[in-house]
Amino acid sequence: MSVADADQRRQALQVDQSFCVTAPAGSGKTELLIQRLLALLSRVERPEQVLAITFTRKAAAEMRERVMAALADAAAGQPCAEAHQQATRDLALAALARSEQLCWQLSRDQARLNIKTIDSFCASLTRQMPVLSAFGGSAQAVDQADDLYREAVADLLARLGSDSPESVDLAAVLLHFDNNAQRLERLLIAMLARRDQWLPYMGAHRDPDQAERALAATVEQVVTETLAPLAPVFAPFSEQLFDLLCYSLDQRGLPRPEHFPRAQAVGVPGWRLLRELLLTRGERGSWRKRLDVTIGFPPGPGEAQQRKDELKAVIAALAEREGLETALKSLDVLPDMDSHSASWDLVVHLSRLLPVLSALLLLVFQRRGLVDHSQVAQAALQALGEDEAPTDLAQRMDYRIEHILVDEFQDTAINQYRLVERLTRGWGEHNEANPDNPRTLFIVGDAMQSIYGFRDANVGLFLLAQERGFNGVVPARLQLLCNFRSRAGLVDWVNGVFSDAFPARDDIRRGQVSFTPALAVKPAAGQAPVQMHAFCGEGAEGQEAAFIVEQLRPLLSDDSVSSIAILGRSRPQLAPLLAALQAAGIAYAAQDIDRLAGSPVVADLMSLCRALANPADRVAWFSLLRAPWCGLDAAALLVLARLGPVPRYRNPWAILAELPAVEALPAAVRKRLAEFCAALEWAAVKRDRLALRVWIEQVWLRLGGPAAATADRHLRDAERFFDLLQEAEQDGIGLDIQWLETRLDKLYASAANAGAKLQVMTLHKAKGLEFDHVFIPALGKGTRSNSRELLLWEEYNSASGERGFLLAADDHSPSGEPSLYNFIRARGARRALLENTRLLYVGATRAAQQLVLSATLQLDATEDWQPGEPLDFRPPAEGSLLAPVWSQFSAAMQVHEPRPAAAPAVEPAPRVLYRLESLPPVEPVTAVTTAEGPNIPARSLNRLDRHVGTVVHLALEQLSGLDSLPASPGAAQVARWRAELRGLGLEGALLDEAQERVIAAVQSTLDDRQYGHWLLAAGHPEARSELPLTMRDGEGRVKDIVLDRTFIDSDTGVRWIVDYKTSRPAAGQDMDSFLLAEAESYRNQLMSYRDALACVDHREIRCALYFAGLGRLQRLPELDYLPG
Amino acid sequence: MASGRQLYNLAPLLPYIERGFTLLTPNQRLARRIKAQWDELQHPSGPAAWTPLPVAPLEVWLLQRWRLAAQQGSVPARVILDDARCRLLWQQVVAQDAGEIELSLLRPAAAAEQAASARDTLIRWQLDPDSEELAPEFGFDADCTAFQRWRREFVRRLEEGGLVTPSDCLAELAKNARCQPGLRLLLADFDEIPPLHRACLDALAEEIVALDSNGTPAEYSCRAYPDKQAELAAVARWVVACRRADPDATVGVVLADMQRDRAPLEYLLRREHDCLGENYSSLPVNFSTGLSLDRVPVVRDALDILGSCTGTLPLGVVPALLQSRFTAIDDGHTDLGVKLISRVYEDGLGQVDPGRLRHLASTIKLKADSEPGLQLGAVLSAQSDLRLGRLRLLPSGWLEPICAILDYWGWPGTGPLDSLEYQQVEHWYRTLEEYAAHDQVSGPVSFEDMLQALRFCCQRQPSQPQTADSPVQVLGPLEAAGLAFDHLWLCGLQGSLWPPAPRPNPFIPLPLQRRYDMPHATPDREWRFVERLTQQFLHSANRLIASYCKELEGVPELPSALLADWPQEAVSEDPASLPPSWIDMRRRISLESRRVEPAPALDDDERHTLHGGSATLADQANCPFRAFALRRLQTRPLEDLRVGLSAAERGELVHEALFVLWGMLGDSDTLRQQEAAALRTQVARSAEAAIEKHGPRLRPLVGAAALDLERLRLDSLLAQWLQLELARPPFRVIDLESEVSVSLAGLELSLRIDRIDELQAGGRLIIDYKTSRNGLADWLGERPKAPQLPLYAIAGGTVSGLAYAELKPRQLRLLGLAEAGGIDGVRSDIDKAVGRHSAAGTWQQLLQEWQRNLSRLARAFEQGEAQVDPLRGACDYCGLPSLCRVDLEALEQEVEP
Ligand code: SF4
Repeated sequence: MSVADADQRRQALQVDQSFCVTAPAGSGKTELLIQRLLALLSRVERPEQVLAITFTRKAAAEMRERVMAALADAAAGQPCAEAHQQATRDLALAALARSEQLCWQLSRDQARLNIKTIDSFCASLTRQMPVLSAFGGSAQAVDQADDLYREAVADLLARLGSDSPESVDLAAVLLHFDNNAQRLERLLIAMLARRDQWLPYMGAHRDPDQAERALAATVEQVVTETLAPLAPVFAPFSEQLFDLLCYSLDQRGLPRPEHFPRAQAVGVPGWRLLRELLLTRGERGSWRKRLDVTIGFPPGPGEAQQRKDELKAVIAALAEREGLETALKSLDVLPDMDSHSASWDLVVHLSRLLPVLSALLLLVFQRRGLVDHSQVAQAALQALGEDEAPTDLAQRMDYRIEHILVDEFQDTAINQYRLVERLTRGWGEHNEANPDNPRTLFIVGDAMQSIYGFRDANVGLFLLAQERGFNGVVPARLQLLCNFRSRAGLVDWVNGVFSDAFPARDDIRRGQVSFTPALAVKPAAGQAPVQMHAFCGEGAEGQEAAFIVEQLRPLLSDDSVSSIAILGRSRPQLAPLLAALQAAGIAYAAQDIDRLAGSPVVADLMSLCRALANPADRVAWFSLLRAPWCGLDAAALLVLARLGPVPRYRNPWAILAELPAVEALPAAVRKRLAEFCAALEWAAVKRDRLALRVWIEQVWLRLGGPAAATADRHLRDAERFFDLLQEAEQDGIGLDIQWLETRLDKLYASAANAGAKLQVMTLHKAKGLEFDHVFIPALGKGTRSNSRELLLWEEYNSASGERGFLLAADDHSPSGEPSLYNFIRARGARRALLENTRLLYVGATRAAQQLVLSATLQLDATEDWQPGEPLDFRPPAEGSLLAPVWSQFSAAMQVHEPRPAAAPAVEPAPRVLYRLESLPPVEPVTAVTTAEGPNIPARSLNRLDRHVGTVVHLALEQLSGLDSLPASPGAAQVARWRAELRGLGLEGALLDEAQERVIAAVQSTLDDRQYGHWLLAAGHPEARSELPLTMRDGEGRVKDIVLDRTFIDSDTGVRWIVDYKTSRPAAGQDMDSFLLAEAESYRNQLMSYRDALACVDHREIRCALYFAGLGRLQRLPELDYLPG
Repeated sequence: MASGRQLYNLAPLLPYIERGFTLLTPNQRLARRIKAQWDELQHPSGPAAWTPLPVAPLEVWLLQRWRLAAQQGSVPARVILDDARCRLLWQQVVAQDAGEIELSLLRPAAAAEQAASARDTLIRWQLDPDSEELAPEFGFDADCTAFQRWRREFVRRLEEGGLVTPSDCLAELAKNARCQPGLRLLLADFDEIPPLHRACLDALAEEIVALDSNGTPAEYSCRAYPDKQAELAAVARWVVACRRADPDATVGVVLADMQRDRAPLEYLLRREHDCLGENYSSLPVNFSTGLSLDRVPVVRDALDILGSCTGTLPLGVVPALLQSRFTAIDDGHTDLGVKLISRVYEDGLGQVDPGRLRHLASTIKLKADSEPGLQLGAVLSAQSDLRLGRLRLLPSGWLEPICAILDYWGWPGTGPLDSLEYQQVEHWYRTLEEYAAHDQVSGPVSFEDMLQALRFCCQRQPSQPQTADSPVQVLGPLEAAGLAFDHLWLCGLQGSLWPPAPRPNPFIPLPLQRRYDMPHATPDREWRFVERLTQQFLHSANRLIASYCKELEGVPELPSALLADWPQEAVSEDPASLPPSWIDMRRRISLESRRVEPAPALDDDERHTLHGGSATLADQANCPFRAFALRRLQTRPLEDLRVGLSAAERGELVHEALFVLWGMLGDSDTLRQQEAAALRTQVARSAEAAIEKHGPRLRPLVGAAALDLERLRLDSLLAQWLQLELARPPFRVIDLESEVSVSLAGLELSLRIDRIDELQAGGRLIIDYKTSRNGLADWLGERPKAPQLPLYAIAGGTVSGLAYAELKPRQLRLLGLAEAGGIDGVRSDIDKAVGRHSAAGTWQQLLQEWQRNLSRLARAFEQGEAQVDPLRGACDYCGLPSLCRVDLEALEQEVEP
């Protein structure tokens, strides 16, 4: 294999230089990135200083894995299989040496390789700078933030009619949209999701007037820029043209302008006059060939003829200029800067609302503790500081980022661009001052593969970075040329077709990318590398599908073919083909094609969840009855539907209860329903007793759920669903139907035959993958026509590199007329078309061996076509993938003659209803018995009593340690008790009360000369307070106990065990019964104390309770113990 | 210990215990374990008592020392703030500061938490950020300077209240501690001891010995799984296998990522142990973490109940509370309850206003003549009588109202609760008391603030079932350190987790953290940490398995570098398979398919009770099953959530306004003769009348302002519409909103006709107001989608034309068909107008066609034709796909090749 671009690849490893590498499909850029990263590692002090940013988490992990592998192989001295691996090896060895020299421990601390996605990098910045980023701490970033946006919009809408200033703006906007809050909501949600684009212009901190002025300034700039290229072109003709223009205006009786229009906003009307003079009307207007009186050139000889000839000559000269026609036509929709127009007013209102809306969103984030990824990026940017006050990142991160590598830069959105901008501040100056140790950028991308416009990726940013660099670091351009993937024939075909299909020049601001041809490394093979097929007529789709099926068969049985892919834009476009594959019994793995919610098993599970969540969800309940576990027919359903006094509101649980008695149902149905009821009653009993996932799954199993699946993959879908339930539980969401439905909507059913040779997926999904054979069918289909969005906006990069923001509301103006809305719309439409070309390019370059393109086309005249006659096709819709390559396709396509559509099947297959033959045997429910009573704990909110008790114990313990007892507690002691009580959380009036009670209890003990003094006397032998013991009781149970007070009464030689109590008789309770009751309730406890002590001390023991607050000792004579 | 095996190897400690050492451990779990092991050795037969083994977690023990010292007066007595209150104080400080410098943090609580931990760490590392040496370091950036501000304010507040944090206590202790003669300490299995603790120990003890449990090195190996699911499934199978081989064995599972893996593993363990259904509570496994208290159902419902007092209630909570097992309210099982929920859903608001709910609950009746009787009504009324919105109480003061509210609802239900729930209810009461203790750092607060703080308290309480020690333990890495097992599995040792990425505290300058080797500060420290843990594990099990997954959430993963030299064990490369019980059931029970039979024909009863209108026929035309489901089964989908006025409501308003307007105008001559100003007034009055009529119902749902806007909109819409009417040839409105009933193929249908115009040119034009765009094709063909007007046409009387009056903004028009021409948009060239949708060429033929088609539809409905056969587009907004299974069938019939 010869590598024609070896030089470029070598150059890319020069670590003292910045590069922007264009790496087309199959050019092996990942290897290059890894080499560069390894090369940089051997230049830095710490590995973290090299930051690599990838597009996906997967890409980051793969890159890390490959770098680690390269290092590991180098360390192990594994032999290199191929020459190009040697380069990587050498770099890895150098990096390894560096690592060892500086003790990086790279092999164990993988995290030191600073390879991140933009999201994870931003998240780490916010974590490290909680105050600067205004996050406060790491907030969980959610992928689906629509609910949060919705909440913010609801908060905004709630301000309608309030005193807040935005109320007026809101009313105006709503009125413009026919007071349709629902539409406005959808729109504002969409705007919030993309707020990274407009925040800098209309963010929370912007004042609305400023936002308005910024918008006006941008519009002015747009106008000026559109006009700018015209002026020089027209300069040579300006006098002559002005003269002719005046003539034509005079003829029509219209006022003359004062001079030839200038290239400024004020000149627009003048330019429009010129455009009218030179081109025919409308979007399809072209250079005028006929000049007549309607534009002020009356027929006739003499001056009239002379003027005509003169103008014709000018037109002929101008028509030579490529692109001038389009440029002139673009004047049509150029917005009028009329500050009185309704649509401008609307924009002004919006520019006042949006800052408020974004502020409200922050409040929602705050409330929910969740953010979206865009917020993380915003916060990271904010933390890095504005240019005037940059944050010293090196200080914060403990290292300085010196080299940045960015992969897939063509799919960069504005936030990412801004981030690189901020991270590279000062690099230009640094590099000037340190030419030996420069900081470098390494940007890799392929503008030709930029296909994420719908996600706000802006290929213009790639072009901009390539051209201007960042902060004075301008990367050198490198173009990789070699394609290691596709065979030569394929590469040649792609080169030929796409060099025509792509625009001739790059244009940053239009997001326009030109084509660069690739060089094949693999030689051509025998077969035709590219086939193109066209189908038409009413049965075209079926014919196309049948054709592809036939093409697939030999490939599928050919062992030398290892992978085949069918790629399409979307599921609907692939549907006929998928049906044909099904019918033909061809196994395929469809990735992310079918929605999980549509899987039959999941749909029934969803009904089950809905029914259990809400008894008023009658549809769900009846769906359960019709699902395979019951499979009730219409007649049976009808019987059930008519039960109850007001059937519509009949409680489903009541229906279940009634079922056995419903005689209108056949016995078999009743039996099945009885089993069904048993399962649901089980569900009712187990509600909230099992984990959510387990609960639903168990009910489902009792209903025979798995047996209702007609294919294994439906069971895998069920697993996905249960995982979702588990997630709901883990996130504390519980059985929330709305949440489930939203989440389910974003999930795809599992692919049947996951390992199949034939893969079906979308073109976007296929990016980065490679297949031997690739089919791209249905190329002729357009996307649904670009409906009229209510709002349009666009980030606008001026020629001088300034960024601005354009926003327009649907002013209901007809398309093609001057308005900001139409202007933005036209630009958007053009970008979408350009992206179509790139999407097809991405698809076509997936193929290694062969590419098969096919399309169904419209005939120009279907009615009178006879077999054998040539076919006349209409060009495909503008928005189709075929449109950009139509001329090449139509020249080379193999036309399949229309066959009459297969006569519709005699009768549509009869609808069937599935039913399980039987349900699993009913397992007996171990009813939660009510025999043992309700088992509900008493409400014991008695902390005051408890805390008083605790502190009294403490006080008595302290007193017991004193040689002589005071008459009353001293101030210091009281202060200490108070502190203890506060430590337990008492404050205010409660604290005072508790303190009083402690003092009172202690005081009455001190006053109790009979028992109190005896208890506390320090002189008893073996006197202990709060004595801890571990004991094992008769049943072998070990427990820890604490004895409040124990001692040997020196008079009697008897050991006493006394437990302190601070309780008092309840109001109305007499003292004696209180004491007896207390003795009763503490008997067992004291008995175990006694038994414990009896093990260690063999003497007579007596037990008592001492009521500190009462000064009463209550003996428990029944516990008296005599040894032996 | 039930199992008889040891979870801790005591032997090395015994000599020290004999010598009177006090044992200190890094955590409570280990202390308990050692003590249990010790207790087991004491007097193994018969009852006995002994002095407890002196073993305690280091931190607890040191705080006891401080207490003692305080009691003895050797350190100043202060009030210790517990963790929760400490956090609250930090939060207050952060909030106050944010207010002062207008900094709005997204997660102030998180900042407070980090700040608290930063201060703790600094104290533990005996560093004073106010010292001359360190202060400048904190001055470099906004985060650290903010922390300094907060910290100073925090300390000020502490001093003001005479409060201290536990770390402060230890600092005091370290300063003042004197050596205690005879105090000998044994430090068991410590990974590291912060300088402050070390200082305390050094000051206090006469002798300190550190000891690591040092079992015989285990047999160990490493396994790699294709994905997480497969890894966890293998763990679950292994646990069962270990126990089967040796029922007495102690088995441990250490999850490196407890948060993510705990729940899935618990599920799989249940599956393997067959503890999913009836045996749910007998899973022989202990988990070191569980749900937080706010998530356990009984407490969740208590919090939801409290949430129903103020603010708004999420819609889904209404049916959830009505069905809760934890209230004494039984409405969820009554028809009236169903009606209440339906009503609440009809409002279409995602957040339900408690006042609205109370109103509905106290007034809803099942039938006009029945009594309102929902228990919920009474409960909500009692609740609202408490006037909670006005109260501001101390935390402890809130306990009483909280209990009162819960009592109204009869929380926690009538039981029986299971033992877990019993514990949770007790835990809830304890948490309430803990909240009451917030008095210490809080003034009076509103109900909302109380509820938020209470929720926060519950969130911080792990609800831990108090069960006996199980033979199988699932633990986090730290919790498992020092414990001994027969079999131990370390799960999730991906390189990205083991060691974890450093998480330095953002409020302490990084260089400082590195200099002092603070927790989580550097990769190196994390490495040493897990390396040591891994070593500990190696020595604490007879058999040790470590595993990782090669892919996590679709992203490739590498093994931890710590596993580099471990012997690899081969495992199946298959991703996790389906549960065998499912497969088995699928094999055992077969699926039969039957043709769908038509429904029975309407019986007399149904004929009487089904008061259908043209919509019945429209449904029948669009999809016979839909007509059956909506009309006869009465299965109406729940309403979608609204934002502002719904399309139907706008339609009603337009109808009403036009009704009023034409009621005033009467005919085209009058319209023509009106002065512009007078006409404007009449238009305005009509719009107002419409709003007035529907306002009372709509205002609570969309707000007054939205209705005001709607009035303005109606105003201009009507004015524009009149322009169009002005252009018409003369006519007289002869009927508005008239009721007609038709009998078609035995089906009684009642219709309401928006308006009938008598044309001067002769004939009658029937007009139906629409606010959307329509097509004539919807009237035509065998199954006319919109049979309403055709039905009017054949209902009786002589009708010479039908027209939609479309009041769609900017696209106002009349659209219709008529016998004679003359009205813009109403076509009389029938043959052309119907295009390929009909064969009718004249008005009369059209009438016949309608008679035929509509009769057929009526008969089909009447006879029970109910097949699932939607017209194109009919399913889009139908809401019944789960019932009719329209999209499912194709997939059901798919067979796997
Ligand atoms: S979803 Fe479609 S098929 Fe099902 S009932 Fe509605 S209209 Fe008929």
